[in-house]
Amino acid sequence: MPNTATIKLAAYFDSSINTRDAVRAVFAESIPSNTKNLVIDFSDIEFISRSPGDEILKQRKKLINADISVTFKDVPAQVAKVLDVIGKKVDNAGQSVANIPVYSFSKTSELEAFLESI
Amino acid sequence: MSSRIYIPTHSAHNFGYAILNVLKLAKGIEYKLNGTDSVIIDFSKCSFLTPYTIATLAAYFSNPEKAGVLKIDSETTNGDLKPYLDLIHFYVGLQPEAFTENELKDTIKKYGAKTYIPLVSYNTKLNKEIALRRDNAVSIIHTLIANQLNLQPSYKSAISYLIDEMIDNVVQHAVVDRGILHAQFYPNLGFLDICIADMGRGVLAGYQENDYEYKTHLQAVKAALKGISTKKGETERGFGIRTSTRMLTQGLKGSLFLMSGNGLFINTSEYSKLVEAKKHYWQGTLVGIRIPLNFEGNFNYVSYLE
Repeated sequence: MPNTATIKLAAYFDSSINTRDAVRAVFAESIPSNTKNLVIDFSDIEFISRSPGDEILKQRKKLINADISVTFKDVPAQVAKVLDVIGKKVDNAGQSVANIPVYSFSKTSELEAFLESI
Repeated sequence: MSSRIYIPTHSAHNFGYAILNVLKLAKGIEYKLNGTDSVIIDFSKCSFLTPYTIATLAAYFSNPEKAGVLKIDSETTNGDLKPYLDLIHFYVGLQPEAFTENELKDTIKKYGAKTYIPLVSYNTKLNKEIALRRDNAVSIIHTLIANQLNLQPSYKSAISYLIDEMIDNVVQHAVVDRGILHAQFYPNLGFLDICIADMGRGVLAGYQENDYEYKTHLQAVKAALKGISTKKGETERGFGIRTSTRMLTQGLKGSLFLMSGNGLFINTSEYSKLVEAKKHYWQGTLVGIRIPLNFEGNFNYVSYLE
């Protein structure tokens, strides 16, 4: 396909992708301006954390909005599972946090006794 | 005029005691810094340090303003403490950007049979070279921990995820030059301790500088726990702490504390508590996690993501 570029992630990462900014930096500098089709090659990637996975999906969305087609190639099953889960929108579930008890101690000795009991 | 602060030895091993030691240390250093030209860190009463204490001290030294008035009295690091502190590169830490990937791998090799990783002081800059070096260094640390603990891939992934989220939070939100990472496991005590520390702007400032109207550190910590992103309108970015605490406490049966300002969150497998630590303060964010050394079977870390 003409105007196709490939980002082979293993050329930048040592089998695992851990941080958001590293992904962002790779995308910022690796896509030629006339690209119409982008292939993101996941071969030799064994692990991806949530934040960089989220960043890859965001970059994909941005590219699609700019009429660039994006294909994920050779995604290992475990990495695909992570991307699938991250890609699902979730409502902010603040209810469980609202139920966390809040403690306040007017005396340092009381805070210390509380912590020593944990 | 200088003042001396004595680092106490760690005489109990429960999680709350470790948190308390860190709070007291920070309070003691700040108190002494307020009245004197310099503070001398004295280890003469200390024979045992946790990663939380080490990371806390290293975070102070990573802050140029504080580092200028703090000194270690190296005459007081006696016995086994001195070689240990030297080996972990206390207090400056191993700075990944100073190594090529192969140099770093070679350096890390000597920790293979140890129960601890070196103290890591990572640059939080966002340019491509630093970001990739940081990412690769983190990978190397993940592999070191996995090898030391003989972890199956699923547990390596889970612990990697926890460390990555904590590091990413510093890079994304702390607005600070460096973050600190340290970890050690204790086969006899049965747990792994990991600490990430920074002396950046803290969680509250992160929200306030993006026009949120939270007024207290506790409100800000609660918002972070709810998964509210500091970047308004971005629903996906704020989920890290929530999934991390769930994976850690429900999945791995571990414990976590997070301190930012005077807001303290403690989460164990049995309960969660928010504490307004009125007379304590941490400039920046300090996260400590404790994971029991129970890595049997397979661990489905993906089920804790969202």
